[in-house]
Amino acid sequence: MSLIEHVETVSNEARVEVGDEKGGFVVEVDEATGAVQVKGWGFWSVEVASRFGESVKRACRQDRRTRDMVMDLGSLKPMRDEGQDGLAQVIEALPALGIEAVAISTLSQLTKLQILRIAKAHDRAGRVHVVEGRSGSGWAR
Amino acid sequence: MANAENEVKEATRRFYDAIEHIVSGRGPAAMSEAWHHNDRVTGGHPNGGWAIGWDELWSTWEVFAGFGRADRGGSSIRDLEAHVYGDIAYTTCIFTASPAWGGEDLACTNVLQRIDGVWKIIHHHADKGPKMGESLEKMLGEG
Repeated sequence: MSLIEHVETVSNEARVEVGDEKGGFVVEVDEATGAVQVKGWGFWSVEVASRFGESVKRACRQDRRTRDMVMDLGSLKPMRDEGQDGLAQVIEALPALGIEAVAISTLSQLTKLQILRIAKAHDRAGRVHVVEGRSGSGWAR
Repeated sequence: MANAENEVKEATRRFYDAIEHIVSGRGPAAMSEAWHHNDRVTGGHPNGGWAIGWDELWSTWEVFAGFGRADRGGSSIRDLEAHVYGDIAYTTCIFTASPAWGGEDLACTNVLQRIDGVWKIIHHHADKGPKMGESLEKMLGEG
């Protein structure tokens, strides 16, 4: 069985879920506000990590009202290169996607340090806010 | 037994030499050499939760390696003790982080396994070190 078969993807227009209990993410668009909500957990395999960037960008394009994004990465472990690349892709694309503010929360200080480094390198417009805690929703406007 | 204890201490020193490599900007390659690589190795750093399996562990060492720089070195260990039980051993020591990385004294435990005659780390755990995290965040601000 190839690794890719371990990656479960559940998808409809409003919600995409990739991965399993060991590591994965969910992306959904809030129907009321158009905000993009992301939740990530565990340690992402290469297969899960490589789907992250495009999944989030696709969700951002679904609703023209979308201006905010909240990423709850509270239980996400430090990412391998593919996960870092996916997050960097999303941050780089924020202006083109019309996203004005992204709140990212994490409970792991190591994961926070990794995300801060990625944001520093790719968030030229200062749209990303990283906090250590359970939920980034407090940063959402 | 004395010989095995010496070998275990040497393997442990190689691990802490590898930390100094990372801290001082020489990269994580020596750290890779210090560990056995399999899905059962585990580690807990001064910041963050448990890493389980070599892939997770390697990602954590790479995070630290991103903060290494030649002028940030100066970590050390003292009070290294080794206890051998066949092909498994554990060591205890006090790790002192380099000044740039917070300078804290952290009690550490390491478990080593002898595979094909070679002792390497299979588990590492350090005290929590809040100053280390603060120092690393500060480095990000400095560029």
